[in-house]
Amino acid sequence: MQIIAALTGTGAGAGVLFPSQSLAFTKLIARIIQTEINTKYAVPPPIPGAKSGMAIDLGLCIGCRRCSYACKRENSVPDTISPPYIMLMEIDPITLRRGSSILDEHGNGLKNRLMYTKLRKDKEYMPLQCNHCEAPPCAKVCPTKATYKDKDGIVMIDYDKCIGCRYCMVACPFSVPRFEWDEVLPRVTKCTFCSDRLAAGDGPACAEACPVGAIIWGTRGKLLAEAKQRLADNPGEYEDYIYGEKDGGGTSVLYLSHVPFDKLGFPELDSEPVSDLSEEAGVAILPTLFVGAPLIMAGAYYLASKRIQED
Amino acid sequence: MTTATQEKQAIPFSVFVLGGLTLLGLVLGIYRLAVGLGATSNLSDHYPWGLWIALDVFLIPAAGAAFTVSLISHFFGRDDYHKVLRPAVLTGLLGYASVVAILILDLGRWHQFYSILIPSRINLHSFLEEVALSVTLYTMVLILEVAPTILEKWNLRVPIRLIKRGIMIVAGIGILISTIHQSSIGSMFLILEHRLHPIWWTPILPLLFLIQALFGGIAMAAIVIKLTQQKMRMPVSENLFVAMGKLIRVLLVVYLICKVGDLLLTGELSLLFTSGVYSVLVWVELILGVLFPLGFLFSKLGKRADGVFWASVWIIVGLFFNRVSVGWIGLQAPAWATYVPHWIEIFSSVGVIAGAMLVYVIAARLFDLFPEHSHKVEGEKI
Repeated sequence: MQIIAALTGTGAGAGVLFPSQSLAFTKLIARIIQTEINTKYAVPPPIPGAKSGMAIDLGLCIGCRRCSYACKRENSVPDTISPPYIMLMEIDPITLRRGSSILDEHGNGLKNRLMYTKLRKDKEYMPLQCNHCEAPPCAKVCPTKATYKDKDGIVMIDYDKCIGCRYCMVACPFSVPRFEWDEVLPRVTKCTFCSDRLAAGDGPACAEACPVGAIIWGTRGKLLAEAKQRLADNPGEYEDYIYGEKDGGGTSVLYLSHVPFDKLGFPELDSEPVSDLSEEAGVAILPTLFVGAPLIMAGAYYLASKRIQED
Repeated sequence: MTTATQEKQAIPFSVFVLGGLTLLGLVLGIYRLAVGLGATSNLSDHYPWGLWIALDVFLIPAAGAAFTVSLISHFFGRDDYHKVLRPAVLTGLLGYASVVAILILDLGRWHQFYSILIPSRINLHSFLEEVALSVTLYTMVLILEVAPTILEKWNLRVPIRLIKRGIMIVAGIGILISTIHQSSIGSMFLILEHRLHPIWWTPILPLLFLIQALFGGIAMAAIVIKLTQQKMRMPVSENLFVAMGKLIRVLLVVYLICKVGDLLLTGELSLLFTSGVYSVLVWVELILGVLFPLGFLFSKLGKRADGVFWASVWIIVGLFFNRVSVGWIGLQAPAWATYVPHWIEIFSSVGVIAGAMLVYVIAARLFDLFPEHSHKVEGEKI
């Protein structure tokens, strides 16, 4: 309540000086309040054991990076080794160049530069983390089953099995997993949905830290319902699409956006899981190989032996 | 049993060069394992796969010399191929050993490499697992196939006899494993449709990779056998090379039809002209690796061993371009991210390949790679 009072006071003062911005600001305040209510009352706590997910309302995100800080604290992500699992991405809507402006050439986080980089008017901001896909391609391609989707729907990595081949990094359509390049025995790191907190009944740290309620968590079914409700309640405010409902076979992290999703660098995926590409085509090719290959060889042999007889 | 013609020769300069490169590669390899990937490579989150993976994807079909010559000599009963079986199988073994060495360099958690063999962890949905597992198994099969050559020197008759009795089964298993993984390296890239440039990505990529392994394997065998026979001052098996040339050209035509036909049927033929650097790469691999050799092999040059030799060299060059494209350059990353291999990546890989060549050169002197020739009178045409 104190925050809202302070903001309103500031808004009132600024409203005299900057009329058009103050209107936008007032709208923002209104939405924050609305979302506070939504978060507390419209989304019941998750049922233990049911598929958990997150929903991210990009229309609300103000780019403050509190989610990143909370993630770093919660997961003890060292500053220099890898960025927090939830990264605030700065996207140029024209070139789709996406960066976090806080990474070095290896994609590692730089010390002390998390919070205070200025937000720019001509860029879009969105948090990016593992989307915990329903049919995760990273789990499909992991040679040693180190990457897997657990009973809560979280895609986890077991480092006792991981060989560091980085196939998961190449296979992820969102390019999410990051690698500890500067470690001698590195790990592939990504969001674990704060699995320890989930076991205790709390949600992920980023959801708790978000001051505007842009990140909410719960069961996937209830989040979908909430997202559809917001679309219905706010016509024209959002792109009429819930990213992650069916994209790539569906994800456990859903997105609403106020700008077109392709402007934010979201890949366009079919509703068929990416993983299926591997199975279908591979299986279809087997008859071709086991019939075609011997035929090719037999034919070549026949031709070659015929030619030798002619010589 | 060595022939009278294999005199004791002075160690040529090239062996010293190979030895030096191998030593450098070994030192760099140990350094890489000791300090991690960050200091020894330019790989990054946007380019998780680079030179090492691309080289592995190239060396696997090049090492297909073993399974192709094995297949033709054992299962098609061709005596002329049987005579050159040993150098082909040795090349295969050294090729696969190089693949494993470079893979270890690339794996971040190499200390848990054994995970790929543990049954509860084996993920058969993953084509990389299929490749890793079958490469490991096939290397063991190749060791068995090469063993008689080595054991002969010490006259260990019993193990030799045991292996020779089972050779058809051993070779058969080897050929089956080979077919599976040569196509599986292609299948690995199927799930990367969003990353691999459409000029290369196709659902028939596994088939294309298998056909390349067939002609690439025979081409590699032709190169190694010709060089070995020349260096060891043996008469060159002219008729065999001509036969190989005829087989290769049929496979090249099949490959060309499949590759171009696929682009045509999926409406992607225009990519050959509109994709900038990627178009250039595909033209290079098709012209150098397919069209040029076809020209050689369908002309008078195809009737001579050195004609077939040079056609084979171009085939391997084209194969190199293709595999490096599919395994590295064709994998898209954001335009502002860059990757150029670190010198340690380059020299560690060069060291592994130099080591393989060095072992071959030493083995060719120490052991009898052409046992059936040893019994023939020098100068008689094979």
